[in-house]
Amino acid sequence: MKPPAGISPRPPWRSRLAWGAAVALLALPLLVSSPYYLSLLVMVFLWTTAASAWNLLGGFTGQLSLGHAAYFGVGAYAVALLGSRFGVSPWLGLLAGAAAAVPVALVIGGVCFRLRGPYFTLATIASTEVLRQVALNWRSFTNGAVGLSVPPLFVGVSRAPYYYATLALAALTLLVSARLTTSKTGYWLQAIREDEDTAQSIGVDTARYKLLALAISAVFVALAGGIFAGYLSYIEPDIVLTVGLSIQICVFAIIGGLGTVEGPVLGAFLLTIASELFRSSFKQAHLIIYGVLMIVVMLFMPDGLLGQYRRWRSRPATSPAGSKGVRA
Amino acid sequence: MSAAESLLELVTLTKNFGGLVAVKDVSLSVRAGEIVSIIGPNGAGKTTIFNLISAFHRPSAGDIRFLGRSIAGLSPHRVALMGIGRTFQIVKPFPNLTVLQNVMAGAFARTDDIRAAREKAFSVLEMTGLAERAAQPARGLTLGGRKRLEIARCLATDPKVILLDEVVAGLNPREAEETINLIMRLRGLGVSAVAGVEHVMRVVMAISDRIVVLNHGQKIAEGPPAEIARDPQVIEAYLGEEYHHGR
Amino acid sequence: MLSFAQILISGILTGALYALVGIGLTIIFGVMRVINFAHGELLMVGMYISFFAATLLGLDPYVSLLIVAPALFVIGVLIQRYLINPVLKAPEFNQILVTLGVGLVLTNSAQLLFTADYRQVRTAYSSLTWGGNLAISVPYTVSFLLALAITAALYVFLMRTDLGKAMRATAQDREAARLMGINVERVSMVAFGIGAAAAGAAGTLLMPVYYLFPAVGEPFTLKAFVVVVLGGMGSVIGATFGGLILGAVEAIGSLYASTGYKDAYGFVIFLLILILKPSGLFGRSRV
Repeated sequence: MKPPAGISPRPPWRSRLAWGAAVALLALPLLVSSPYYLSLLVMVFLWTTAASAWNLLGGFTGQLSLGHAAYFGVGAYAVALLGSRFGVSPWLGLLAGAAAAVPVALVIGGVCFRLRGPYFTLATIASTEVLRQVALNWRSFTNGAVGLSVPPLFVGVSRAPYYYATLALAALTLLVSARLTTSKTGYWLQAIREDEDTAQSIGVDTARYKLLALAISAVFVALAGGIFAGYLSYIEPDIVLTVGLSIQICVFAIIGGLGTVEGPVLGAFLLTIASELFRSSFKQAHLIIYGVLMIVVMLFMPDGLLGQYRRWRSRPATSPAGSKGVRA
Repeated sequence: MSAAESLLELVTLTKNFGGLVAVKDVSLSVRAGEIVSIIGPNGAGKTTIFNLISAFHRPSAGDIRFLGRSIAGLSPHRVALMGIGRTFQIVKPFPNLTVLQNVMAGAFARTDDIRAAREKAFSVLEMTGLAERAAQPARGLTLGGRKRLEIARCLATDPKVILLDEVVAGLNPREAEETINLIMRLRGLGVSAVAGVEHVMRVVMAISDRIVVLNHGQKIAEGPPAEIARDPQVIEAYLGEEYHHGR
Repeated sequence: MLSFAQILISGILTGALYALVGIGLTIIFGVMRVINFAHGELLMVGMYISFFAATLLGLDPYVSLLIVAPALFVIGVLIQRYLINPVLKAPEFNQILVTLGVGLVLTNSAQLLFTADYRQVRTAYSSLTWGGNLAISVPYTVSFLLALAITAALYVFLMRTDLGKAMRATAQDREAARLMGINVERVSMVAFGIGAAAAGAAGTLLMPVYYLFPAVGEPFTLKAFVVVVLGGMGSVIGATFGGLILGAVEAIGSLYASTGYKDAYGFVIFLLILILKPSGLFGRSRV
């Protein structure tokens, strides 16, 4: 009998492939000096982090949050405000942002998790929107729509330090995500996604586990937001606190494959590259590709690219255990 | 029977939904290892009683005692962890998880260790005859399979009592028999069962220690199967329906 | 006191437009149980059609209603037929994402076709006022009256006509309606069409008093939700009052607190209502 995919020992070629990829990723900045490509990869890693973190709540726990820009914004504003108002090192700011994301997540979660389905989603949008309004209007502190300049995390013009920092963050997020799939917490989060009543009937404190998933998720998204702010060296509410950003974060995960460890990586990689390619022809409208992909994926392959691939690969045999997407 | 012996006790339990009385003054006591069947037509209040015991609903009046202490007002997961397991009338397996993963999710109620959870899950799957389906996604099972999976997932939480809502409804005779056999085996494990059944079936009579008959939310009869089968009130309530063979 | 009355009146006038956007959303939700996350974007599309009718054909924005409403109806029908219907039985999660995708495509298409420039239609009456010292805006008043008239017409349609009754039956129980011989697929398309037309009409009514850009719809999607949640999902009358209340609250809020937070008031109310009384102020509780 075949053990389910989530807990099977990896075949040797897979672990070799993983090691090879790791070495290649570490060596890449030595070979590629073009700041353009390194910047692109920095964004890929940041989006991988944000999408994987979102996936803990959206994919594994099944709670469609469209409010993750809130945590991205908290991380970004922590670095920017502590740096520009109090002269605090951006690294401390980064940690402060991650720490601040937890209470923010608990408050927002405490409110939104009382609702289910589309009402939950609406409430997450509304709470982010309230934060954006505060950032826009508390001018004496946040500088409002003018925005804030952010102290850089690394001195010098080289992109390589940001490359390694974001790579490390993405790797850490994936590690947490992978560990979760083979732990009690991971099983129980998925139980909540599959059916909340049943989850409660086997002893899952659904309220607590949802908050836990949101808090972990928020911390990583805040870290991504903090590094993003330092990297961009400038932020404003309409960059880091928009519904558009929240949508973007979840689209990466959905297109790659909801509730899988690798899906968000795939989604972040393909979409960052794709939107870069489309940027020249579509200018600011490159988000159109996200919209088109969202519709196509939901209509034709609700398990995302990875789920579709797994299904296709296992078609002749009995259905595999791996695909955990949401479907009819 | 004395209170000390009883595992689960309903004390004049009542539940209103708005003006509608779904359950009225139902008292019931279940001892360790006992199998009690609650018989009643659809809408008689069986599911409401299960929802009350498993804390999905709060009683409007009366009390529920488990292991001698009141559990009314606790949250569903607390009640589950105390040892009250349940299945749902409309089966709710975790469709995108495998059969094994479904049962492991239940086993995690008693352990944090994935290996221990997997071992527990496999032993339950063996017992419930689902072992060869372990790697299959739960959504692919037949209705009978899904009902058994519900029981398996529930058993993995090591319940002291298991509430089986409409345990044989919709099953073909063979599936119903398998399920009944499974319930029989619970006795050997020292697990009590409260089974909700729509029809008075010979098999149900055979395995039950005691039968409670509900009509319009009220208990109209209680006793050993042989007695219930002769009860004129029951015969009246089930006119033309008594002694169904498994459908 | 004068400024209070002024502000309150202008708030209520705007509120009727919010109500119309909300009614579109509530009709779609009522019949399909789908929350249309692209609703504000449909309003935006209506505004662009009205804008080009004004600049290219020289049509008055109010006259362009006659073009916008049918155009949006068709767009709504097509969206329902090809994008929403296939996911009607899918989890809510998937439905939300499809409508979000539609919204993204519409906004970004507008950006692509018409650039991000702000546009406006100036009419001879744009800055006229009436009511003496109260100085009530004439175009806002006309839009208010038209919005109320459209709302009333929709209400009569739903209550009196066969198609309206079929829509209400479908909203109550889709399967039962099907068994009664109602073509629920067709009813759904009409419902989405009417919902989209209502959003487009609201956009058109905004045209003489508002400016237009591709992302103009985004806050309106959220406002429509607020309106509908205030009034109770699926209730046309509730949405009407919800719209008027939201308009008034925004206006009063910006008078006594800060104008900048105008949009935030609605969302705070929204969160409070969702938590305290999820069935809405006027709604019966729904399970």
